[in-house]
Amino acid sequence: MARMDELAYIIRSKNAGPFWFTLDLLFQSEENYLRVKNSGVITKDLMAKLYNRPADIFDIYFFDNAWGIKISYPRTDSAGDFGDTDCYGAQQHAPLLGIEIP
Amino acid sequence: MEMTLYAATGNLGYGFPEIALENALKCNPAFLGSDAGSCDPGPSCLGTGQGFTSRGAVKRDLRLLVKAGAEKNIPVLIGSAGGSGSDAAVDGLIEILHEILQEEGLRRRVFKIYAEQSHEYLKKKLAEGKIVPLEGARDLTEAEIDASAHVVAAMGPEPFQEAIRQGADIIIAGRATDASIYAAIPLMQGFDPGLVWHASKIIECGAAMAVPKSSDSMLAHIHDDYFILDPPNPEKKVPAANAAAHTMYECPHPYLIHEPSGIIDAGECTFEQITERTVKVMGSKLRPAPYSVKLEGVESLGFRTIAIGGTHDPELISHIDEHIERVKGFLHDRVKNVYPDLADGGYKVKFVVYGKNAVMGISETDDSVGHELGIVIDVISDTQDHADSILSMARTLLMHSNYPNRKCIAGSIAWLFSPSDISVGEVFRFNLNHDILLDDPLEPFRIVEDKEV
Repeated sequence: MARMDELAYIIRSKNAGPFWFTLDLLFQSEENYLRVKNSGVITKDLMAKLYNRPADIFDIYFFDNAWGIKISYPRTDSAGDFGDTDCYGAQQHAPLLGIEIP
Repeated sequence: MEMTLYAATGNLGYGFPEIALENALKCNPAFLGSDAGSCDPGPSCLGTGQGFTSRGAVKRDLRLLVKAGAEKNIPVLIGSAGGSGSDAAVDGLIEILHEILQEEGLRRRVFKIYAEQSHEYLKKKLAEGKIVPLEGARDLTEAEIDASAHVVAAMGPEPFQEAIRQGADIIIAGRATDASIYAAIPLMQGFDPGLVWHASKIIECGAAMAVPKSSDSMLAHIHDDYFILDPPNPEKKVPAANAAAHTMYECPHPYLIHEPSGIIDAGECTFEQITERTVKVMGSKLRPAPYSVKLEGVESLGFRTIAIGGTHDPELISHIDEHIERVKGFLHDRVKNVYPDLADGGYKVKFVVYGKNAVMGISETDDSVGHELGIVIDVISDTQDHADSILSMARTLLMHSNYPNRKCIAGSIAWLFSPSDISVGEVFRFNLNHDILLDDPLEPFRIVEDKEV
């Protein structure tokens, strides 16, 4: 087993427009990228558990040419609205760090 | 055929080294471009017309570009002026430009492109069925248009192209898609749209994909069937993996990116390391889609006042949620005494608890709590006076209300500042998540030559 923060060299979150968060997992080797992609661990159900949100709101994409995984999901409050506490969406990445990959 | 595109910096005012501009000029770029805005800082820029960068820093960056543009006689293109690209923000940047032209003794033809949309125009397009909701949004209503304080449309490259045709040396544009600033001139010259749009999308953050990371310039050399990413600062390198990764940045999809005239498809691209510092990109496509521009709008939430404090009391920390609910109840009673009209629906209050769940909110799954907690009280009401007044009640109640086993009866909160209460001013929320379908890409935008220079 290896933790995601040992396999990915960038684990980041950001707004994708004011109504969406997007999470990027980026890898420096095809080996690490394929290990994570082919593990089947990155699923909507995992995201639902890690982020306490319904599974069907998460869009998960694998970008083979860039060795990158992207996960996008709608915000509960738009950026800067009364209930929002992360205007740029830059600090929503932490639950990904400890994902265990076989 | 070859054309060189120059992006000065990720955001006008973030800065770039002079050596980067000097080296870039040796490559004979077709123009000098910079993005000057973003909706990342939230709805306040569009609501207030204020930017999020320092005026002095913006003037420094713009001065270098204006002088270099005059020296080489190439256009300077600035998009999303002043943070939001509102009309007030365009006028604010024009004022800075006037100072620069006067101080440098330069005469240039300056064009302004306004992107703000009237309620009347939006209602007309709504009635024509030309305003469509984006994913997750509902159909727009006239009431939502009426509630908007400011609405901008993000222009494509066509308004820039029209200003260039009319003889612009310098363009100060309102809200524009970041890539449109860089795509305008190469598309006019007939370069491949897929390559032009993809290159423009990658360089719109300046040298963000280069290492070592700092605010800096980026060049893209567009050829017939590929483009090269080339940082003009000799100390910077672009790793191929970073160029690929940057394609994914800030977009909901990793390789399909919506632009006004189509969808950039980078799914089949290759990113090849040519030298240690440069990357060759091939295979970018532009997929056709109906011409549309995105709307960004804000409505007022009222006026905000905040206070920042913290607690180190273990009893309060272990019962913080129930105590906050108790204080909210006391506050409601207190507001009812003083402002009966505001008690129900006339104010909003929240207590943001740092050290517990402030950053992740509903998505927090870690139930551990710090040995001290930071608390921000946030009050919004219809006037600054009401927000100030209700915040002061909330502050006193949080400070002095009892909770079980409370021993620190002189006060439960360490307030950070004196005065403790900070009046923030009018605040806004984004209220539109819609596109307008257009037959004429110029229709919502006003291109005006600035005759005052």
